[in-house]
Amino acid sequence: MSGWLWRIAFAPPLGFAVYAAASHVALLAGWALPVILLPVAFLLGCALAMCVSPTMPPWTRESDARVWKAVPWLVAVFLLLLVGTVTYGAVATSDREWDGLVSWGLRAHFLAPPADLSHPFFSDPEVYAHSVAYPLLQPLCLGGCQAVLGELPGRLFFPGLFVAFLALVAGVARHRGLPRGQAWVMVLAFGATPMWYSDGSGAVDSGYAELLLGYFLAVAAAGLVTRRAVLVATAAFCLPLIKPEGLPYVLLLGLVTALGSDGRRLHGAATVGLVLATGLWLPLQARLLGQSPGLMSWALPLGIGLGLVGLREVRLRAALRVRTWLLIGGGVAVLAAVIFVLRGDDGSVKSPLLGEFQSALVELPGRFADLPTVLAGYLQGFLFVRKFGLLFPMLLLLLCFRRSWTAVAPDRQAAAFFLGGIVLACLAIFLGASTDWDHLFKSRFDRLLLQWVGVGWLILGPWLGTLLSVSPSGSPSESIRPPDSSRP
Amino acid sequence: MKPDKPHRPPWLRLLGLALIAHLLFCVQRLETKSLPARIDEIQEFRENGAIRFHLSKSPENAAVLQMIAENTPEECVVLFKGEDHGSMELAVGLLSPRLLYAESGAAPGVSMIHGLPVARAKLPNLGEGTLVLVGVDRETLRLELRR
Repeated sequence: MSGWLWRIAFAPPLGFAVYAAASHVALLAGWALPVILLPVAFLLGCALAMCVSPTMPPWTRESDARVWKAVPWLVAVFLLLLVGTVTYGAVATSDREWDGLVSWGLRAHFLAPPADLSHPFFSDPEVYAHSVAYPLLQPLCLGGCQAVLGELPGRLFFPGLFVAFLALVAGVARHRGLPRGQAWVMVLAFGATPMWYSDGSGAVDSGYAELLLGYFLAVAAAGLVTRRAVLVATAAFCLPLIKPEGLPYVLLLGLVTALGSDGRRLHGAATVGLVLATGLWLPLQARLLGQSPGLMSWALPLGIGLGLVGLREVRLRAALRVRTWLLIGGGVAVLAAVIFVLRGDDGSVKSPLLGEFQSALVELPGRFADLPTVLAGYLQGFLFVRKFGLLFPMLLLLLCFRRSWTAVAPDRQAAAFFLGGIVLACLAIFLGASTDWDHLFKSRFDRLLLQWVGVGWLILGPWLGTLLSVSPSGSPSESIRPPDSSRP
Repeated sequence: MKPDKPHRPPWLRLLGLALIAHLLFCVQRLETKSLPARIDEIQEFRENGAIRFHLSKSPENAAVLQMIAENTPEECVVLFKGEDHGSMELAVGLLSPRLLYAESGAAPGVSMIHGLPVARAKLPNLGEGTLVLVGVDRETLRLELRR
């Protein structure tokens, strides 16, 4: 079971990456997307993953307890019910949620092969096109599936992606040595997160892009905890192509890997992925905004890449205190450069998320008066059991009672990535364009947190093992540490 | 001699309890809340159609969009003007694949845009002409005729 599970978990991200690259290159070149592009590119990526997939480390001994032998079957029954529910929800009707209908589903319709960006929906500013300059990977995937399977069956993309997400969590759990029963419990705990299958925005079948973004955040975290550079590069490449939040998240990934102590491999992977993604996306975004891709559309990705490489070199060479300050300064400089370069001629910022940050900085002093309301909203979001179950209280428990909760080095990077992402989510609310806190906490903050649910469970995973087989210190025992965690 | 029981710190026991509570809560929620709610929602969508489903709280807007959907071909251009946020955003999705085109950008008397016919209709009390969907404000849509 071990080998194929890991390969199945490992294959889809590369499938997505190959399709993302092929489709974005085709759109940039002005070629119509052929119907067979999605299946061929995706299968090619999966085949590539099978070839480059590293050898699976040997599994640890299964738990002796008899009760654990029945667990996979019980969990499988529930997961079947869960996947069946969201599959039914996805294919029974067209979009039933606002953003799914207005933004993601509509653009998928006009991008379904054979299509290109010369369609008036994308090329004529007089045609009403909601969020036309938003990243295109999800509409491209959904449109590609619908071109092959038909409009409603094509929505099988969503439950299919959810299954890939479950396989990723299972694969990482097994890769890290969790016995089979505990790995299944971890998959169940993740998959059963209520917001995935509630009727509302962000659910698997809602048509929103939270699932795809959350999947690739988990791919990035999986790359960090398993030390697989190809996973980190794949995530860094795909994240900016999914949602505007993807770019800040990948910059965060670049900073986290720059701070890490594992040499240049993961950091190089993140940097290469980011440079390639922005190199494809920024010129395409300029075209969608009705502008011709200027020199900066091509130069900025290189600038970001050089900035991140520079940070890494500083981190490796400078003394601790100096390099910490240099890193902070460098991070701010990279962010400022991104904001500056993405400014339009009218002073607006082309990246919605960064634009919000920029405009809000001016109003910042006034917002502090609302801080109690905002803090209460954050707390309510983390404790929203009907959406996230007890994930965030459990992570808080680890943080409070276990100072070295990231007991092994790869977990520290994943945890830093997770905490940084949560901070960004909080900032996106506090510094957003709107101060309608009630609306923001009801309809946006929960979706931002949902994006990090997969990463949260990947961090909690090793601790699940300790609930059954615990070492005297209460740390994850050697048996469930990643076999190569000590490798530099 | 009994083997030593593994030592579990209190916080770890608490974590275990939280995990069990998480699993029990989430599993029961799927069966008792989410699955029935989803079935109801899908049934409502199928009974009412996409337009009335999405605009169930605004039957006037639903009637406007329903009128356009029933009286124009799917492959056409519908002119629009006024407030383009709120209900107009939803109209774009619900009238798809029709394209909504800014009325200010359409020359008087134009009948084809991008190779698609511009939507015309006969409205009660107003006569026949080119349809213009008007966003009165974020919540309100109405129809006008352009002759």
